[in-house]
Amino acid sequence: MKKKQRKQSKQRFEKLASVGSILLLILAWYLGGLRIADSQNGLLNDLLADGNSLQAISAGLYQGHSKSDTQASEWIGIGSGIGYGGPMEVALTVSHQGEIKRVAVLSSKDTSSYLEKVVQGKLLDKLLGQNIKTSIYVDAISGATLSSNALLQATNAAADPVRKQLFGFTLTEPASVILNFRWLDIVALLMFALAVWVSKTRHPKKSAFNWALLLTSMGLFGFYSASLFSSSTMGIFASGAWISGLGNYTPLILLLLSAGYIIAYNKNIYCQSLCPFGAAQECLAKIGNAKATTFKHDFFIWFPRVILLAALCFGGYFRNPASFSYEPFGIMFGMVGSLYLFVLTVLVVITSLLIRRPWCRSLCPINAMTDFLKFNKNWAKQISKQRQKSRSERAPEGTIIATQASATNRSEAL
Amino acid sequence: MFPQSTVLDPLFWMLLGAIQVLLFAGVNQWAKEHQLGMNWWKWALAGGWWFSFVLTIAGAFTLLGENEGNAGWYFLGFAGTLLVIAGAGLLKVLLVLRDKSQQLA
Repeated sequence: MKKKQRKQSKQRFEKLASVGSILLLILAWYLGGLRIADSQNGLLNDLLADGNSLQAISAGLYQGHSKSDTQASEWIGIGSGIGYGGPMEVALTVSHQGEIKRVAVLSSKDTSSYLEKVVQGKLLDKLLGQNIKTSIYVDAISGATLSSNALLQATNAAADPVRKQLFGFTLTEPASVILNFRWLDIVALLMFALAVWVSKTRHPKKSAFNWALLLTSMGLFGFYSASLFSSSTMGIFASGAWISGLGNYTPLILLLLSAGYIIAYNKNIYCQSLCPFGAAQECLAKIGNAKATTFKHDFFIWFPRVILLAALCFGGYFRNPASFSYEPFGIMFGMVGSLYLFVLTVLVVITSLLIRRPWCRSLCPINAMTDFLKFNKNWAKQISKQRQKSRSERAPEGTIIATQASATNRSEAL
Repeated sequence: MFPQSTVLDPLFWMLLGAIQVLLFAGVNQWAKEHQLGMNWWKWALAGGWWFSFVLTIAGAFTLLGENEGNAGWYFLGFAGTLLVIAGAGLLKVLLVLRDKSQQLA
């Protein structure tokens, strides 16, 4: 009896946590929207020369003029480009002659380490002094190509409204989202289909097939492209930034396929056969003869859930999910990330020699996502069952009689 | 190491050298107890691994001492982790070869 009561109260708490987490995400998103409007206005004012005031002319075009003189002394254009995590917004201050005087990144959804590389590579400085009469181009910073390209694309887009105003022509055309799809996205689809087949097959070499998939995935989605999905991909999906274009769709495709399969079949195919970090941990476990251990304490169930929720909320509030990604994937497969993440990666890698898949069993956000999807699916099922039950209980006797009568009439007619 | 003294420095390094001899003698004894059947190439691999390990620690702490904090920690973490993995791999190879030779016997 006590056990049943405890189970019921646990379920009630989990239901509350599930609804509460969704509400918290919505609240973070809403508050982030208020914050971004304030900060963008502040940044635009900072771009102006001292004493000048700002006046909106059209969408993406502002005029800066001194308080005494109504004639425009400089122009500000705003444009966006497609980065790794979604759109990147850039503002330019342009002189009457079309020379770029100042550049500012208004918002970015790229991982901050990549953006730092772009700034340290002085890509923004190289833009200064260029004339917008021709298309703006500078060499991308190696190791941050997607962020560099997004910045260039945004700069050209920001220059366009000013070009139109000053010289009467534009140079950029809106790029199609489809152009952002790459061959790796098709490979992700194929690999997922293979993973489904491997999970269902009864072939005697099933384990070998799974190993082959894991190793291929580690090579392709890990060391080659570092496009495994993480909490930031979940944030990008939740934010809807992917609709206007992404620099890399592969993590999102893997996320959607995995989540869809979990909802449909209650099975996590990704972790089992595709996760590159899981594959790396499995390899290390083979080297060190690591033992499989399960962490049964509630802390290991709830801690990753709380961390994931916090990362998604902060990502939503600051409109940059990639900045709050806490997984060691970036360091492991691309040596990109903070020193803290580096220490975490080293710890996970060394622990993998002794314990099988320590990251997956402790902090991985994919487990938290799987639990969330499964719990809500079961909850929805429970509700629909209860509704069906109450409907059949509520149905008046007359209805049953009527149906019985109509059935006899039908059989008589036949 | 000891900037205030001219005697302690050489003494310290002589002591460390002596510890190396003790260490290798201990490893030799341990390998015999576990019947690893150490030969020249196994010793070369084990020695090479230990030399790289010592060099990594020395290199990392030299960088830290030169106020290159980030470089020092990254070097220690990156090269150190690779060496730990290589060490685990080497130990596995030694144990697998021992098991095989025992099966043949």
